[in-house]
Amino acid sequence: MTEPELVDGLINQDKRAIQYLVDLYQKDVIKTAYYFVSNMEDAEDLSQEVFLEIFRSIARYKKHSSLSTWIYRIAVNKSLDHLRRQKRRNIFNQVKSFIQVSHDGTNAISKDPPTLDTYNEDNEKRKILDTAVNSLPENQKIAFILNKYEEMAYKEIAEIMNLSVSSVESLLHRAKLNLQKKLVNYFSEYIKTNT
Amino acid sequence: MDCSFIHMNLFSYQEKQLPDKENKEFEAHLHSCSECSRIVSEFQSVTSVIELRKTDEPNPFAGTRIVQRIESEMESIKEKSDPLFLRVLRPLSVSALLLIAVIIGFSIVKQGEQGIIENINHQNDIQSIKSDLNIPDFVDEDETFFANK
Repeated sequence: MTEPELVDGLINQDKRAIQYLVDLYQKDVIKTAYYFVSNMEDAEDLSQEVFLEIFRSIARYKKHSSLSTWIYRIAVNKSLDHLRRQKRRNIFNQVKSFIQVSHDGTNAISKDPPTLDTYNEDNEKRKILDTAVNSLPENQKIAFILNKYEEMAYKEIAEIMNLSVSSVESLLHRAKLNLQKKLVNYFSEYIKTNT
Repeated sequence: MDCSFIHMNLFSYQEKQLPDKENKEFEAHLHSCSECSRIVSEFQSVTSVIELRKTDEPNPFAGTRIVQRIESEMESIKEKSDPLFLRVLRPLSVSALLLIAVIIGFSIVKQGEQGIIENINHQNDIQSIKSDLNIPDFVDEDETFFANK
């Protein structure tokens, strides 16, 4: 099935076209969402939202970019929306627990310092990296994830982000500098507390 | 070369993007500075998670769930886009047909009962006329003949 045939099939709600679209892009969409939200189940749920959005707005798809670029763009936007919702929820929960513990006179928002046992665990490493990546400004985060996890070329990233290639280069450069800074601070602290 | 150069070039070193001369100086510094050496090793360990994450695979049935979700969306769109007749009048007309069928059924049963009652009354009338006129009951001779045999 060619791309125009696929698009026409989706507009006409052809079940064969839907199945073909899902077979072709489900893995890419789930993995992209996973690299952003760091949880496979959430990524699978998000991928349903992504495909629904594709299905709902396929009639508005303008063929200025390839279908895959358009799909990646939807996947990235849905993932960022999810992270924003999650952040709002976390802030709300933190405020809620702060208000609750204020009555006891203890502070619930305290981060445990890393311990050697847990630090060596893969999960702990994932958490450290995720925390650092998630603290990046949104555009830097998108550029970094698409480049380092999806192994996309600058040109592809530029198309997805609707930016010039030089802007993507600059975003990636700044993302790496910021990440290095955050990780070096974390490691220095860790080394100090564990020597 | 000082520690800040190491801290600022961790990705470049990892991605082998440093020019030869700087790469050699970078490694020479790591031999002489234990803290930077530790930081580089931790950095490589944490960023190795990127490669690890690429090997994580989604649920093989995720695609089926996506298709099901789209199909249910298609159904709801279809229902919403149906004209008023199909959405409101169709269930109403089905209910009305059912009601009519029930009423017809009742009237058939009622008519049947009425017929039986009328038949009994008719038989009674014949019987009373026969007794008034002293007409004996009809005897089926064939039946009595076979009964006697």
